[in-house]
Amino acid sequence: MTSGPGADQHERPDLTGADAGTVLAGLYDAHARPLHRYLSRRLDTETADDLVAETFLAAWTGRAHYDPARGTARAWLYGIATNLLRRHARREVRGLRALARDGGRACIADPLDAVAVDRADAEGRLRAAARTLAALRREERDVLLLVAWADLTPAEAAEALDIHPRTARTRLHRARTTLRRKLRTQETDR
Amino acid sequence: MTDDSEIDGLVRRLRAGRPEMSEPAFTEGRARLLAAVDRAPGSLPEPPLAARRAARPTARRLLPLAAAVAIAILGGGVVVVSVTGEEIPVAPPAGPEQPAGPWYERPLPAIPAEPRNDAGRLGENATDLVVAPGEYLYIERRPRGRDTAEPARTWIPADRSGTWQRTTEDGTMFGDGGRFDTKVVGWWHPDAGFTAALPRDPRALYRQLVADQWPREDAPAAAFRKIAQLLADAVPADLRRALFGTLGYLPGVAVGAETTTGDGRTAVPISIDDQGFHRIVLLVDPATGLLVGGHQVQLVDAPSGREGGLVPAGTIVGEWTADYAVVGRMGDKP
Repeated sequence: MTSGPGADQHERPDLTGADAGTVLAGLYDAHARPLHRYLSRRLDTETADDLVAETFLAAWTGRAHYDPARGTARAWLYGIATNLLRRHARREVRGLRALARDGGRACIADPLDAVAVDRADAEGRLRAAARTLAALRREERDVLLLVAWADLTPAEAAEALDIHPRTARTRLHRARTTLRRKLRTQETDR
Repeated sequence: MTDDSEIDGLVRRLRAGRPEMSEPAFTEGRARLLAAVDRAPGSLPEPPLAARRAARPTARRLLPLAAAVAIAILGGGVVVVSVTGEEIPVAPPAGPEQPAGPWYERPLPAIPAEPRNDAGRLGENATDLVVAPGEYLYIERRPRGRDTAEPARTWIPADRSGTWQRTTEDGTMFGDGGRFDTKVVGWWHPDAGFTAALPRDPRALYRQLVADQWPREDAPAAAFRKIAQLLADAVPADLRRALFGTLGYLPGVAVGAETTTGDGRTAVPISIDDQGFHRIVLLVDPATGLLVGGHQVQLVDAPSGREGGLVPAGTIVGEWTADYAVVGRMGDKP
């Protein structure tokens, strides 16, 4: 974690100056790849390529709206990207349902991990998680995935979505509670 | 599986193996950005109000500050605002009652020439409870339908810049001027200084909401929630009067016929639809202009969290009532 005035300037830059283009290019260098990681998990790699570019173009045209007092540039960018994702909301849900149907193999990054914990159990839980993610209310899924996939804190997710931090925490709590309940049901049914 | 970190850990494993951004994609995205920058290197589409405020974080001056004129292009209208806050040309006349466009692309429109609804009348009789120096305004917000739930209690000193206490199910917090858990002061975190600096003119308040909107989802509903939050803290009557007046200009706001709260008190409902999922309903005591209750109405069928469960559209969720009193000490109950 960085700190100090320099770090703050980096995290909450002034995008109103004549050097805004340079600043935004720096933000691109710092955040494009992690942002792509988040977007490709929510949709697919090819769409993420476009959405990353669109996010920064939207950031450039909307830079006057960025208020450093309200949040970090990182949160702002993830907020723009999450808004852009909404055009693809149905496709995202279809993808998650397909993930749930196709089984957990595609979900598991490290096969050794799966071996260690009983592959069938792991796949079952992951299928249930994908199915539940698809069924979550979109705004709850947004907060959960900004936290789990983009590593934003709940407060940063609130900044990204322009919602009250308490609302973000409530949405996160609801999403986790729903997941927990579904997973318990799935474990009971086995 | 009970721990949040376990749940998050499971979610993190989903699609964790996606390929990284390719170098060509990275390069192309950067090139597109730089091309856009080159096309319009110096122009800024809107005045940097936000940045000016950020540069002077302690100055809660009202906009506009420095510019001779500020031009805001929002939705379908153009408003030119002078340094005195007066509008020069008028925005388009009051539009349709419901905001245009999908909720996720719905900015606050320019202020119409006339109010869109009669919310302003809810503030006509706004009065304050008399809180003498040393006393506290006590607000109890009680969820209904959850008899075992503890109400949220707030103690506000006569001098609202003093120390407040708020006690909820999560514990007790103290905050100077009502600033409890944040370093950032603003619409979402209003403290006594922020509310004292807000204009008492409904049109000026509306313009401030327009200037302060984050270009995000359902700005009219967000503005409604910002105002509701201030009303819930029983801000002084002159500000409540202005806030109700501002609600009169918000698209999508509806004022209903007199009704009763869950505990039988007379109230007037005022509502807005939030992101297409909920209708937020506030219940206002017409005799005092204080919020005495509220609830949300589910607008779409939604999974309830129980296996196969459904919360059908039309279901009332999150109902609450509020009471006000004056007490002698922080922590006292009437």
